[in-house]
Amino acid sequence: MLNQSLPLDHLYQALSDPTRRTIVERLSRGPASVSELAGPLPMSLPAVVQHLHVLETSGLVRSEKVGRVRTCRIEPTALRTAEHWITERRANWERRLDRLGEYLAKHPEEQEQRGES
Amino acid sequence: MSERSVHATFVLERTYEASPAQVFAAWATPAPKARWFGPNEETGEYELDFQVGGREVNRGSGPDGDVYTYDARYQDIPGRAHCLHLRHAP
Repeated sequence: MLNQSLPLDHLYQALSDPTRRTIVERLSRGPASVSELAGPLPMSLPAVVQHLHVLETSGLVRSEKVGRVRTCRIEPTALRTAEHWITERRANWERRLDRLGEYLAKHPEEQEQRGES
Repeated sequence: MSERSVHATFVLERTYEASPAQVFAAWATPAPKARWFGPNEETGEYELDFQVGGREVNRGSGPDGDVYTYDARYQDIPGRAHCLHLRHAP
């Protein structure tokens, strides 16, 4: 099974910044060059490159340079890892609440302190 | 006003055929809570001290064989209604 904690640290750290989330949103619509990504962002190109570096370290974004153009694309498996972690937490609680329901159904006699109903 | 940390949250809604008092008891009493919240297997470990400053420990193996430990301390118990968001079915 996945030893997720290190990748998760990087993933969620990468996603904790609004600019980086904007970049991820843009790249989830398709690959883009660094200058295309930087265009709409209110910051310098080096600042955008910094953000891209964090995203690449986290595994969320891959890039390759062809000639003078560096093209970035989303790495879906990394996004799925982040999604999976949240879904798992939710599933754990769903299972627990199922068990709570079973417990309550089996122990109706403990309803003597019945509320106003 | 007490200080609170607000983390990301998600909401699960359930309606049970039970009174709020019964649901609260199932949440706040060690033996019942171990039945639905505690680990499934015999090797697991569950303890609950449901009061402000009290601790809750839940230890068990996941499907991958790794042992997971939940170790919590109740910082604040704002009252039954807040604690469980209990609602009667109409």
